[in-house]
Amino acid sequence: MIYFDHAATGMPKSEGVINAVASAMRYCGNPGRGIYELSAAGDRALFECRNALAKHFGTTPENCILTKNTTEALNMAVMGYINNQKEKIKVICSGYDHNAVTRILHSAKIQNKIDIVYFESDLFDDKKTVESFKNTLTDDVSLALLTHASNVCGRIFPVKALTEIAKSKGITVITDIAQTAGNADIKAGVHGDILCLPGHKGFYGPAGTGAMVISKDFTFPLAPFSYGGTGILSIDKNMPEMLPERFEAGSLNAPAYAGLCRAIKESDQKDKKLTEKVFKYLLGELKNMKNITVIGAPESGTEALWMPIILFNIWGYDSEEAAEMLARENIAVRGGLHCSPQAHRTLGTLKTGGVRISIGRGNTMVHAKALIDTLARKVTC
Amino acid sequence: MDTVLVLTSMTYASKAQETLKRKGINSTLTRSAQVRQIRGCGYGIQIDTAFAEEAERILAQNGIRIAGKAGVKKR
Repeated sequence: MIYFDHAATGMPKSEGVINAVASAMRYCGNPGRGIYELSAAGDRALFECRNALAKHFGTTPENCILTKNTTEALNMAVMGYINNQKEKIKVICSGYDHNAVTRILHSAKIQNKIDIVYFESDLFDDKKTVESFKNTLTDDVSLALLTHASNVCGRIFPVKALTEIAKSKGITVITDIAQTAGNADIKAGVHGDILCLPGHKGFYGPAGTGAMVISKDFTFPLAPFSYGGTGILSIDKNMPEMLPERFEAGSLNAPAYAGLCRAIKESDQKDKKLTEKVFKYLLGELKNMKNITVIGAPESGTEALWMPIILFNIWGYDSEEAAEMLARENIAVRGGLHCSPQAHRTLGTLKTGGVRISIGRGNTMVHAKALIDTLARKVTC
Repeated sequence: MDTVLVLTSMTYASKAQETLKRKGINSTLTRSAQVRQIRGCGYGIQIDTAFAEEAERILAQNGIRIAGKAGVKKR
């Protein structure tokens, strides 16, 4: 199997990560339930994971809330913010959001808790994006929900500049870093007050792991997301005010977070030059292939940045059929709308969807050539 | 005699332990009655009383809030 679906989940997981999970399954009890060794080992696994996240994103361990994925982190952050407002608020967001953003905002909107305004994210010019953001901001906007990189076409948006502008106006920034966490240098406070991320994509950690990472300087009290036991302050019927327990009701998956901890440490040492080489090769080849249209990809001369993701369509093929055709050739890609109809609408592919190649660890030039040869054999003759 | 410093959560107890260890002060985790009286289920760290004052200062410098403290028999 040649795997080109790293935007869905990073594969393969390293032996180090697999061993960390397996080992923790043997020695970790339920964290926060006592000082006996099994529970304490679970606590240590969680704390070490928070520590690794804190070092990576420049915040404190207690500000790293462990979640099961980016979606849960976004629900916690966005609804935690909205539910603690006394009045209806206005939220600004982009046109490249994943449903993990779109559906949360839609739900809040139909509950009459928010109004939404959209700024235009330019595909090739960051300055235009920044200008549109500035021009769309009105005095009554209190929350900006930013997408760092599109999961559909890979475009990386200038969230650092947008965060700076928003913060200068006292606007809270929540950033979806699902595609960039583990792949780019991102800091809490610089790229958003709250960062929402997966553990299993760019970090290549276990499935079912993620985090809501809060900047040291962010002090707004978010409403809890779920309710239950935390192992502390048991007499109080309210959720604790302190982080991270405020957001972590119930038993946590300590072995998975032991794996994530290991994955973060490994990720900090990885060289990504080969990924970039494979990306450039595939992009060049696909752009020149008969019957193939590449969508939303970098063009020569642009200074804008992209994740190693390529979206394309094949003439005469539905995007899901094309993905299935490649799957039968043992090549894993993803077709359809990628849970991001908003981004496809912006790119003009809402009706057709697209075939997405996402390149990552383990991909080689041999894989890239095999993909191009397969496409040449199947669709250009 | 030992002193139990009560922390606001397990995360802070772990952070306190790690911070003190870096400064050469060893501690053990506890969920003793003294902790429960102050927090109603929580975590404390037990240290030799001789180091208690220094430990409190180090924790304060590192932004770790102590929710309470109590003297206990040495283990």
